[in-house]
Amino acid sequence: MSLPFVILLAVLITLVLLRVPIAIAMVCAGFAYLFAGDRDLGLVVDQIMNSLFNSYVLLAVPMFILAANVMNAGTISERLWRAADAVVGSKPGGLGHVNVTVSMIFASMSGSAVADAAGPGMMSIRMMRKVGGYPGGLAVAITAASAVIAPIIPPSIPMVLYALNTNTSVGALFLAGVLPGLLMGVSLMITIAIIAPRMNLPASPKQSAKAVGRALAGAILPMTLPAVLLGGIWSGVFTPTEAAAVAALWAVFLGAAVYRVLDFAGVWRVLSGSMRDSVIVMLLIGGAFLINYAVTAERLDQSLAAVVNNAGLSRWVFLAIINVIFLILGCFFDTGTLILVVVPMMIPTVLELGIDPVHFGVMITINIMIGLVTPPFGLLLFVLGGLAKTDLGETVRYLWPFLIALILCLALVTYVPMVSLLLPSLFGF
Amino acid sequence: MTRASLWTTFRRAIALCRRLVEAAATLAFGAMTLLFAYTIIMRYLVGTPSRWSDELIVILFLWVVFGASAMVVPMRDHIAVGLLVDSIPPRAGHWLTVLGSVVAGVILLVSLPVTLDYIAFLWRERTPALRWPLSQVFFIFGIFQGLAGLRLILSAFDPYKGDAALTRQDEPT
Amino acid sequence: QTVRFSTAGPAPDFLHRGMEVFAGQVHEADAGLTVETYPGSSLFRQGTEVPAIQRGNLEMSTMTGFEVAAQIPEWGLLSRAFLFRDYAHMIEVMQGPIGEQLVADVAAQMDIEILSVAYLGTRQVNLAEARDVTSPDDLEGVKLRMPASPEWLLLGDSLGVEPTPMAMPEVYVALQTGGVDGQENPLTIMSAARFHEVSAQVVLTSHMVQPVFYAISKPFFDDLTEEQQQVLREAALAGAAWNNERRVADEVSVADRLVSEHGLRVDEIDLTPFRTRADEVYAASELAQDWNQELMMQIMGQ
Ligand code: NA
Ligand code: NA
Repeated sequence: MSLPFVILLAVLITLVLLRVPIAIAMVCAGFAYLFAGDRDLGLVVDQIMNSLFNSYVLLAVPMFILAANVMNAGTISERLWRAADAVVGSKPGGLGHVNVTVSMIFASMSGSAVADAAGPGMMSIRMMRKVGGYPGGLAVAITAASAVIAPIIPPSIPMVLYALNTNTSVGALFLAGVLPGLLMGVSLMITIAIIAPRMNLPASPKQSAKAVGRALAGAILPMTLPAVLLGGIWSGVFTPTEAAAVAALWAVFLGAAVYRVLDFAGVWRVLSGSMRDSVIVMLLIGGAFLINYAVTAERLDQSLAAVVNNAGLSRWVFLAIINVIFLILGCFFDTGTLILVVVPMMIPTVLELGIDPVHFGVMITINIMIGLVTPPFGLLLFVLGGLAKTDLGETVRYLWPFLIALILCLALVTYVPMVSLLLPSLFGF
Repeated sequence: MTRASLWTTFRRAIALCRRLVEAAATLAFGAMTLLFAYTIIMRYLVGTPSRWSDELIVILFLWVVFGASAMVVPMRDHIAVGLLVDSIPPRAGHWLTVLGSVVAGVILLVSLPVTLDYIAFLWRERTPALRWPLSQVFFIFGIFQGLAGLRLILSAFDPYKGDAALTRQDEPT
Repeated sequence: QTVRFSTAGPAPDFLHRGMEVFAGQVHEADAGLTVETYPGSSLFRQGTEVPAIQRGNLEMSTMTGFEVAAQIPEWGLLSRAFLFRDYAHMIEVMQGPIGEQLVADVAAQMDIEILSVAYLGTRQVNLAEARDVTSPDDLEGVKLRMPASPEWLLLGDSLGVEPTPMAMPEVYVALQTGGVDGQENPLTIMSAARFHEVSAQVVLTSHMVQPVFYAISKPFFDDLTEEQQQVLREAALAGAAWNNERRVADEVSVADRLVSEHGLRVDEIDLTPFRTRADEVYAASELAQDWNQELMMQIMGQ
């Protein structure tokens, strides 16, 4: 690690502790890094703007934010959650299960964890607080943990990148992600069931069959949204990124034309609010791109790969060490760098140890995604904490059991290759 | 004019600017959504895929992100960690926040000339589809860097009003 | 001194591995030079490397003909469909007087030195659903994924397709679901991206034989000692040769494997109708007026 990089870390950590917005602190740390290394300060605008300009698939994030906000303003999310509450709310932690289920459905149409967190995730948080009376930190914790599933169940942006850079089959990877993704969802639900009585999670009073019927009827139209989106994606009408905009427009249609609760002023307010939320999230991602430049320029990614490759580890130890290292380094590296550079460099070792690259790809994707919610530096934690205005410390207190559940899933996927490889082998990959 | 009334006029002018930028950014954000719909319709229904809409969406979004960060979204709404400053006495926490803002603001302003020089250097590069000069597309980052730096420093002189002078205190939506 | 060498090619691609051969040879020569390779656009995004070199933030990149054309309109002809017939033709032209003129023009107008010419592959059309293709008319209305710039769109017109811009990470699913009807890329890249899993057919249109240049910052290169320059030149030739040899062989074996292992239909077709259509499209194009027509005819007639 060079002196300029140490300066980068020092400036970043200092400014963040002094309550400077994280995105601004990243930009300042980038300037300090370049200045200390006697490099071109113009690289800051170069890296941030070019990276954002070339990341078309990131546009799903603002569009899903808009969709969730429209659904909120158009009484759609409330209808959905009242229906869910009527069915499962009387069980302690019932709405927590709903949150996870929403994420699993969403995962089948989006490949981005940030999009899940900022869109449907934020909707879940609002509704868990409003309808279920959940503490904010717990709502954020469940939302963050369940957003991790989005890129595991197909489609998946990280898996496409992995396939492209390791000569692995995208189809096989997508299939291989299905069971682990479901497993992660179920394990989060089991965790909720276990902690519900201990933490005294809120439960709504049991409702009459009639009331349940009414709540369900009120939510029938909104419940068509997943069908519209999934149908559209898998019949080739639109891409997963475009599906985000379709979701927003569908919600506007329901709110304005069907339920007649959104007028022009209402739509304008929602647009303006979603614009602000998107700006906040994307500025942070822009800053992360800059830090990523420094990490790449320092060749930290390549040194890491070299160390692991040359350590002469056995298969099981290799997998364990990879998991631990990636979980820790998930704070410093962005998903792209890990998958584009570090992982392909490890592939020869992976093959040499007789590990199936499809199995490895699923494991690595899960690992990197868990890295997004591992305190203290998880991007998803920052995004959700910022948007939901909750305290990071409180969220982390609630997050531990879910993190443990996810890591247990990761261990299972790591050491029982069948979990990931069963479906691809059934389909002849 | 007294100093106070000058300050008031300045704040009013800024507030007007801010509202205009906010309206433009909101409009652009709505346009992005409609452009997505246009892309889908042209490709799937009409069968003559648009050659420019994807790129326009990205450019609009870049301008929204950095334009609104510069003028619309208050600094305190951006994602920050209050771990340290919230756990010490309020006065000390306040001064540490001021210190951080000023240091960050100075770094942004001092390096602004190089950023502008780099943006100007990009005149020769154009966006792939629309052929717009990158220097124009990326110019918004220069505006962001300058105004964000200015706001961070202003917030130090008048921590509760300085930043607010440039960004009206809306209820967060 | 350190030479930072960036490419859009993925790490396991021949292009990047050729760059590592280059780096290895420079290292062995022990001339006080170290080469660092950055695959997969990890340091600079695809398409931003040339300005990075010109700004002094990067020493080397694998520069494409499109990037040359972007700054020297005369050389826009490098983006023309059916400019080179095949690999041998491309190499012959690039090693002859026309190649020398390109090197001189790039040095004078872009401040970039071209050290060697590597082969990126020959672009072929691949379709999600098979159809009989004998002329551009048979591809009418086919939504073919391509980059969105005017040069590419012109190329799409000459193939007769409906050019459809789409981000690379979305292409696999789009092929699978019918969001696009096909895509075009060199066979090596098509195979690395596993597009054959979601395709039924490859039509060997060979519409573009793509050179890619080992490009180095001229001010940086000029400051080196003559010995160092020589080391870089020789290593660049070796790295490119390593890539070229393997890619040419790979394109043959991929075409075979697509048929025997993946059950795709691979059509070798008479390209005359395509060439005729391309001649018309480029003659009518305003964009192509800026190109050096004389040079273009000379290459195509060679
Ligand atoms: Na997914
Ligand atoms: Na969720």
